[in-house]
Amino acid sequence: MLNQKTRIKAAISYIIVALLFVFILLGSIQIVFGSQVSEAISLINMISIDTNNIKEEKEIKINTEKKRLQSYPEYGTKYGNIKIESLNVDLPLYYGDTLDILRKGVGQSSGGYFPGEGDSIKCMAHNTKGFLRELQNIKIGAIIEIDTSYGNFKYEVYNTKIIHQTDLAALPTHSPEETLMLYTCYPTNSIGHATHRFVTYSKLVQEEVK
Amino acid sequence: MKKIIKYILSFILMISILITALVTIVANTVASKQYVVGKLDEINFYARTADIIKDTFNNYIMQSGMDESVFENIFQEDKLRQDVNILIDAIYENKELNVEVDSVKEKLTANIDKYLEENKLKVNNTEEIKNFINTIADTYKNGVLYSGEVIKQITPITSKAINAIHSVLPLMYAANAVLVILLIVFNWKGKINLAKYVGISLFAAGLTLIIINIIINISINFSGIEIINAVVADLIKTLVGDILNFVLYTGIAFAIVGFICIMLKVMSIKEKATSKH
Repeated sequence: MLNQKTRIKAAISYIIVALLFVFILLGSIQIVFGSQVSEAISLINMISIDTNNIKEEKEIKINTEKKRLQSYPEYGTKYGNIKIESLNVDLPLYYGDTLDILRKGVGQSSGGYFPGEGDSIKCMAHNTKGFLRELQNIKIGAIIEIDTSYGNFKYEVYNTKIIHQTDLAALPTHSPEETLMLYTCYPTNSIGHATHRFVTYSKLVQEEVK
Repeated sequence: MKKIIKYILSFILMISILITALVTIVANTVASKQYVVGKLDEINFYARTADIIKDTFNNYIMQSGMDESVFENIFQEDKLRQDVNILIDAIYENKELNVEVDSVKEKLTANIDKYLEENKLKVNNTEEIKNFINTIADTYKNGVLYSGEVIKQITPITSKAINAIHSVLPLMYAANAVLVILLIVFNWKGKINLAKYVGISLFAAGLTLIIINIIINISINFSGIEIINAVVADLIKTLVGDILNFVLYTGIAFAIVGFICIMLKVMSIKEKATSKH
């Protein structure tokens, strides 16, 4: 009986020593490398999506005084429609301009602003049938309408240009007044990779915030 | 004093066993070219990557004035496999990263000529066709290499790191042996005590590995990883999953063996107590 008690005490004491070793090691790692470990975990989780957590869609609102959106749509999502009645165009408008997006509708460059923000808005789409094939037939004075969940915005075309694809100066990031630049590949009957773009420049003439 | 030294040696042995285990696991998984190539086959990497590349080609067809038929058979899965192996050789052995795209361009040019002839189309600007062909060739290359410039910068580092991991392993085994020998020397008069100290080291190392596995699984959402594309994400999830499983099984094995060693010592205490009487 005494031997059994001694045996049990010894076993427990050895296991406690082992647990102490674990505690000392992990505690030391936490003290010395704790912040780096946390940072590494955060970085890894940044490239991980939580498939169980369904994000509620935030309502997009605009602060009309500051002329800024209070929250922005997620990159890659549809947030409005773009209509050109004179050309029979009615296309979904996405935030982002990846090739995947351009297969679905009009893409809005993240290197610009949103309708209602009083600055440059840059949108582009393919020059194929069902997209902006007829854009080069647009007339000066035509209306381009952007309808979003936070407001309806109408722009009047005042200029068109044919530019080289590398001519970024023709698509400025800032404008003194709200300007919509809508462009597509040019010419429409090109075979291969078109090196030019047909650009329409339009000024905001009417806005209706929802 | 001697007892404190023995426990210190046991603690150092625990750390040494831990590092040896982790380095061994890495050396036999991500640091092993054969292992990674095996995983590529397991997740059907080549066929899935080929599908992604072909889908990316279609991003350029809408505005090209042509249809998808121009992309037919411009590369085969065998060529893709070869080119991915070039990438792997570069990462593991710092070999030259040279993915050939001339064959892709030739086939695409032939398909375009056929398309233009069949549809009686005239090309006004051959520069646009050239740009298209170059864009598709670059798309193929990027589909294999993801980012050639970045890969070229990291391959000297990755190959050195992989060599270092394989070089460190024998040193770790030697370190473990030295520590065990030291423990034998310090326990020369009561050799059964060696089982106690080694057992404590193994048991503690095993518990640490199990705890590391649990903490990583709780803190990081590996199943939700999205990087580059779905195939690469699957590869990373598979590799990480394997590593974490090896860590867990190794931890359990160490804990069991460590516990057995501890019990061997405990059993000897009983015998000693009996012999005193």
